[in-house]
Amino acid sequence: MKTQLSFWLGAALLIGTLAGCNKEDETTDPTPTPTPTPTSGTVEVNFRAAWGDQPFAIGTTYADPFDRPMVVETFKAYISELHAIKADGSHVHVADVDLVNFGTGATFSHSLPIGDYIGLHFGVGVPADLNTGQDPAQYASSHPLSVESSQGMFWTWNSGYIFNKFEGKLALDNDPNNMVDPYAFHIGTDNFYLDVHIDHAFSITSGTTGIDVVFDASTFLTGADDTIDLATDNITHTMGNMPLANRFNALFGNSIRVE
Amino acid sequence: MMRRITAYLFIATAIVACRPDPVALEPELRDSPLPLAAPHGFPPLVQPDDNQATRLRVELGKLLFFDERMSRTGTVSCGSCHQPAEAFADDSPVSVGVEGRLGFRNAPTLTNVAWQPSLFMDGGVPTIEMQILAPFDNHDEFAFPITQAADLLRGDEEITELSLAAYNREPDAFVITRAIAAFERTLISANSRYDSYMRGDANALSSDEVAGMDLFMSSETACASCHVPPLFTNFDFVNIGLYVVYDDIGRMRVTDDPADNGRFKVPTLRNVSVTNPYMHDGSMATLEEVIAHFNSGGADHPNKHPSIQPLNLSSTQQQQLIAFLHALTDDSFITNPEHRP
Repeated sequence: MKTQLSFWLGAALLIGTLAGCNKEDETTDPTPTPTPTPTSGTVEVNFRAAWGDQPFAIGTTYADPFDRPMVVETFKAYISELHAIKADGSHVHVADVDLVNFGTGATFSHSLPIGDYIGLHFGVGVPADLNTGQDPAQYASSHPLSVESSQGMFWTWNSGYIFNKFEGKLALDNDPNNMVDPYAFHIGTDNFYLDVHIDHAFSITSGTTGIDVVFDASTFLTGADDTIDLATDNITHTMGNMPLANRFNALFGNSIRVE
Repeated sequence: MMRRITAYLFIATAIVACRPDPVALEPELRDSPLPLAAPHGFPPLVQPDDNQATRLRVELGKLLFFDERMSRTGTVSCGSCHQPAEAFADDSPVSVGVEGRLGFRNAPTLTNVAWQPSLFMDGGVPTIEMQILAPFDNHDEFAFPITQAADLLRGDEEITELSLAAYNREPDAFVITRAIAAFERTLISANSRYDSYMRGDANALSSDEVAGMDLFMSSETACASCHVPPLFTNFDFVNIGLYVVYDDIGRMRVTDDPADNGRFKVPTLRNVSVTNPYMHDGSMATLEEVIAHFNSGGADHPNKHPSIQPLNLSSTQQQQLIAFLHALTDDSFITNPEHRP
């Protein structure tokens, strides 16, 4: 009888232990504590596209630099190493790397110490140590560099990520009902990583501070020093047409502003 | 006594319920390392840390290698262009993918692919695992996202069980690329009549084949300076003067360096007699044409390798070279049932 009792007590103890194996400790402290003074707030950096002063949307008909109708079917880019720059010049990390589909835009949200900041720093592309020779299948599916999440932004024939993809169709004959002429700018390889520094004063308080980083797609094909004519210069996979990739990347880098 | 048994069962149930995913493996799903030894004289065979060969990984890889569900139309597999009887090459000038779409290069042999320091004729991809992503992505090959192929495989109970047993995860891009690569690393060939001869069997080669071997290894032809035994390649990228103007720019495609225009990876010559047609574009149907090309010195091209010069070989010497190339065929490799679906 005594043996059986001990046995059942042991069993109950074990079950109690097991039942608790997936629970977090539930302890309560009845003593009220003073509310601490906030030392940090939240920054929300919203990456989005625009067409001049108009909103940007995939599939909308725009005019190219030669006034021919064009549509954008894909505009995606990797944004890496996003940092906020404090007034003393030091950098505070916000985000590592993520893929932004500019058809919808994306917001990077992160806690920052309260204080004054003078700008943002980020890269367009994938840092070299994560790029060439790296296998996207090594990442968990939720990782932005994984096979599942990279969404066609990896060159399987020449290992490396596509940093920036801007592609669609236009009507070289100016007939908006005949939008059949393709264009595609696929920019990648380590040399094309864009280091972007933006001067923009902002303060972090205890609440949320929003910053819009805008990529003006109307200037991807034309700028102060260059205009790309899609009739003749309409495709680059970087390799195979590096001069055009250079021209596009220069225009692209000048398209970025903060609102 | 009965109550005690009940209590034991109760406790056991509670313990099991608290464990993640208990797996009672059937004997056929118990994995074990699969040693892959480099043949005598070969360089060491290096395998990636995350994909050491095991019995089940290789078994799963073979199933996937020949699985036509990997393509959008369910009609093309790795094995469609890499056929065992042809030393894992095929007889089409260029690869044929879904809906009969033509690629732009001849399918290379997978003979001894484990030693390749880079994949593709232009060397654009550094590992076998990464190369396996490419045909899924290619419009002219599988034209089927590997993520969708993985979705299909997860609906296959046998494949999913193997995947869990081999890699401790359900089929996904990681499993597909690792398993197929693990299988491909087993495609080791070192048992040709040439190998028998080198191991001391003086009767393994005919007199013509020995004469051809001597020519092959001589500075007169310099064949062996690029097709270095025992792998019969040095993995360099060489312009052999096939064309004055190359439609396919070769390694320049991935380096953008004009000095790489028309340069392609030196292929292994093991099993070369069954990997016809030849050249990166399959433009030569026979070994006779290949030898005639090298005997002529090839076309003028600024990137042509300096060793590609007119050889002035007699027709007898050319036949002897061809005879030697036939002696590099490993019958046990191309008929190996372990390499077949």
